[in-house]
Amino acid sequence: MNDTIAADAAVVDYSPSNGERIERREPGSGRLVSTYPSGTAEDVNHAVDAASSALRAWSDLPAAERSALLLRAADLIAENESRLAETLTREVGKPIGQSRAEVREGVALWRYAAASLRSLHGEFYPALANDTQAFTVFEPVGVVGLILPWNFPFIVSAERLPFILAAGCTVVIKPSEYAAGNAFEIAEILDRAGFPNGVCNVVSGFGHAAGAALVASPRVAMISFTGSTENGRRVMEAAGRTLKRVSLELGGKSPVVVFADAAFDRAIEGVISGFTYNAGQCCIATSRLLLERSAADEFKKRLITRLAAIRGGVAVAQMQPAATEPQYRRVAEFLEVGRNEAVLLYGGETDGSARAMPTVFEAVPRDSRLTTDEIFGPVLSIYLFDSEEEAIELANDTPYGLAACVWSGDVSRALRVARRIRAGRLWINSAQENFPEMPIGGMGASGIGREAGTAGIRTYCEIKSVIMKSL
Amino acid sequence: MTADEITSTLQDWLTEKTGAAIAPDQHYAEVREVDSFDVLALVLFAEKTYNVKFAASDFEDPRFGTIAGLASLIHSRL
Repeated sequence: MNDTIAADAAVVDYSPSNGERIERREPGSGRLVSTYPSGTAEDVNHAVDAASSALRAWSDLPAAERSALLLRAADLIAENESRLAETLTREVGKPIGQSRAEVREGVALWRYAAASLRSLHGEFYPALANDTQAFTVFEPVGVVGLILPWNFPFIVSAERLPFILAAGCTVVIKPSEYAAGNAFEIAEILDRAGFPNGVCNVVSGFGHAAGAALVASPRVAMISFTGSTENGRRVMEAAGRTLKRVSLELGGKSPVVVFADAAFDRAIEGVISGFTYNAGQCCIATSRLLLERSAADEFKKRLITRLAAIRGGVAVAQMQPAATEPQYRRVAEFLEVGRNEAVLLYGGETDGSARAMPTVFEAVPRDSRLTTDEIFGPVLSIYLFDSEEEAIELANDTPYGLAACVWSGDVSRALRVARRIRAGRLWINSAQENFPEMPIGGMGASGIGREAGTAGIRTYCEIKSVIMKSL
Repeated sequence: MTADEITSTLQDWLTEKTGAAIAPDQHYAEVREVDSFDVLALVLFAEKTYNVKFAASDFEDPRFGTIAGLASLIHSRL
């Protein structure tokens, strides 16, 4: 800890201008994890000053040198896996194995961004006219404001930060007030890796203060926001006042379609992880199960048996808690909605304060909030279909378009259905697997833009056309 | 095949998967490295390895919460 403001260097902490700090306590146990500065507009301005000052030198650095720094950061992140995972588990309540896996996935993303940077290139047109040739170049968009969520604070950062830096942009990170630890740890790691001062800055605090100031700043060229659709709309509206670019990964109500010819054992594992991973606090959670009617009874029976296996080993008191108290209350509220409007097939129990067992409802009306709203908890709703057309219609009956899964033994049919489902990420006979090469993002109410993968660096670039005539 | 042999196989499998040193009589929930997905995977491994099937009602058995208990359930069905 020290009193240097984050903006002056990638340091572990700073003193906010208002002197206030935010306590973060462990979900479930309530034990204190740490306190973080409650950043103000003044702190954000200071951070943006530093990011703006560092921009030119950073973007002028040869790609090979920027790439080497990113690789060094990846190595240090790997070396610090235990520490980063511990923070993640303590702040979000994830099982430690999951946190470690997320850190390893993050290292792969940092390495991928470093490699991609070396091959970033424009297009060359040698003969647009007899005396004219032209080319395009990618240039960094400028200072980026990176607003991170509380559910996956590490991996969401890894899907964006190395690509932002690879593009030659500088950044001001505003982590969630519920999970700021990893952002400070990463800033410290970048400092140790040798990143120049001001390239990466962290201002922790609340959205209405630090977040709003970042979005409003005319010197911030782009905002990358991950969070709810409601807050994404607010960010986009505010960013519009200064004509900022935005990249938004927002909410979802994603379908998992299971045909009668699917490999049930694998599909059941996919369905379970799809709605329970991270206690359901996952934007790509597949929380609507669309089942082909002819196989529905058998599938439901086997699904419940598998869920009972979890129950047998781990009682509700040991389940992953909701990361925040408001989130637990939201899940509990939806369990009540389900009891009133649908048929409870499995689960429904809570510990009354933080945890809910995986819960399955069937006979859920299409207009129920259980069907239409993102819950962010381990709650699955089942719907039946009789035909491929009906499955597609059900899958697309949502304003969201973030993710989807299709399970079928007929790959041609799975591909047909996959092509017609409106979603940014789609798995066939698989669930929730991610690779650094694959871009992520949503359609419709699930967001705008793509992060990571082949789109990752370009998202944070402007394209400049250079047209050149012979003398 | 004895219950001890089954215990040993399940223990090795879970340790390999999670990196956790778990005692046969230790409840899964006491081991920080073991989460509910690991428990589910352990059940699937046991069903496949020993050609047994568990019904939802089986999981109400308190023995199910430890490796030794699971091994004794499997052994009783072989």
